[in-house]
Formats: sequence, structure tokens, C-alpha cells
Amino acid sequence: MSIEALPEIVEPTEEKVKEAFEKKWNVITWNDPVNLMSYVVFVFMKVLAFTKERATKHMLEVHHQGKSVVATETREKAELYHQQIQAHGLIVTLEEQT
Amino acid sequence: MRTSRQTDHLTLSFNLLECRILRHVLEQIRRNYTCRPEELDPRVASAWYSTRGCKSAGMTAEETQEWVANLREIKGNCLPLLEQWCGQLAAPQEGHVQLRVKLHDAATLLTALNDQRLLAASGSDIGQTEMDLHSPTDIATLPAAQQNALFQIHFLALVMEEILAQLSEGSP
Repeated sequence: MSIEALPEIVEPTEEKVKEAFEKKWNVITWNDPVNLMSYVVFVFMKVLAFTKERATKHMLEVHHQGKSVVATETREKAELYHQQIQAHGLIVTLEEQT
Repeated sequence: MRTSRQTDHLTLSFNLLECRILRHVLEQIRRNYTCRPEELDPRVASAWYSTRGCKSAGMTAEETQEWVANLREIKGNCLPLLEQWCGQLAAPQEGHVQLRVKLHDAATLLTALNDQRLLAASGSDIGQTEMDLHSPTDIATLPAAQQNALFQIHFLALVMEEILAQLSEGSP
């Protein structure tokens, strides 16, 4: 392979490094009329490795208050949770922690 | 419907009517999992492939597209199991059918059944008001399409609750 064919190395900007490792993101699960309460508990236990008690607490928060912050993580991990929770059919958003 | 748990699998027994409904449901899920989001009813696509979270995260159009493609791949990975379960439901014996689900595959079945509940709800505009109707008299006031959707949503809820009860047995 010639040197010309090597991909250009893009130096990460300070902002991107900061976002990846320092900024924290809230993973928020929202209430909806269809998902079963028992299923929501199951998803929290499976995806977030919550105990049944903790999963139930967050499920009830979703049910009564309309939403619950189920995790606060680095961007990468928050995105992973976002995808995994949505893949199970729950409504989920990310929000930068202030 | 009856359920039991063995060492490494669940056995779900259905009568012929339940079996026909469940087989129809699994085949419908299988077909829809093979569709690209833009090929689905937009209401269903917005339930299964909602990009609300991507917007809230400030993801670019390219990142969102990749995210949706990954989500579709996750659903696509379930197709072999769905085919296997459809095959089991196609072979009734003496008035009932047994569906054998390995314990580590039970979550896939739950998510597929849940996806079908979301599909039925979004496709027939079922919201909180309709979900709160429980008496047959009240449900009968709804248009036929909504009655059918509600019936499916509640039937699948029953199946899911049975599976979840079996899975929680023995867990701390």
C-alpha cells in the first residue's frame, strides 16, 4: 500500500474529547399507553442490569410522572442504552446533563 | 393458554384458536421486520423507528440514518427464531399446540409480541382513552378496526404476562 493511499488521520478536537469523556448524558424513558408495566420492569433489568426493586421504582416514576432518568452516562454509553431500550419498544431520549 | 418452565426452556400451550391468532401475529411481525422503515405504515414506522431520541441527542442526519439501520438489523436478527416459532405453531396435535421457547430466547419473543402491540396500537390510533376501556359494552362502541386492534393488544398482553411470570420464577 502506498503512503498516498493511507487514510488521513483526523485529530479529535478538544470539544469532541470533552464530549466523549467529560459531558454526561441523561437517558430518559417516557410513559406510553401501550407498554405493560411488567415488561418495562423486565427491560430495565435486562438492559440496565437493575435489580427488580430499582427497575420497579423507575417504572413507577415513568407511570406516575411521565418520565424517568434511568441512567446518566458518557455519550457513548448513553447512546448504547438509547438504542437498546428503543429496540425493546420503549420511548427514550437523551439529554445533556446540566 | 398454559405455560410451564423447564430447566432451559418454556413450554407455552395454546388451544387451536389461540394458536391461529398467535401464528398470524408472528407471521405479520416477520413480514414487517423485513421491511425498510419507509415501506411501513408511517404510524408504525414512527413507533418502531422513532428518531425522537436521535433529535434530542443532536445526532446528524447521517448518524440518525446509521442508527435506524442498526435498529433494523437488531429486528432482522430475530427472523430465524420467528420462523422457527411459526413452524412449531403450524403443527397442532390433538386440539392444542405447544410452543417451546429456550429461556435465552424468551426476551426476543417478548419484544416481538410487544412490537406487534405497538404496531396494532399505532396502526389503529389506539391511545390512552381506548386502552382504558375494559367492559365489552364500552369496547363495542369503537369502530371495528379499533376493536380488533384492542383484542390483539390484550391477547398479546396476556401471553407476555404469562411468559414474564415464568421468567421471574426463581429470579431474585
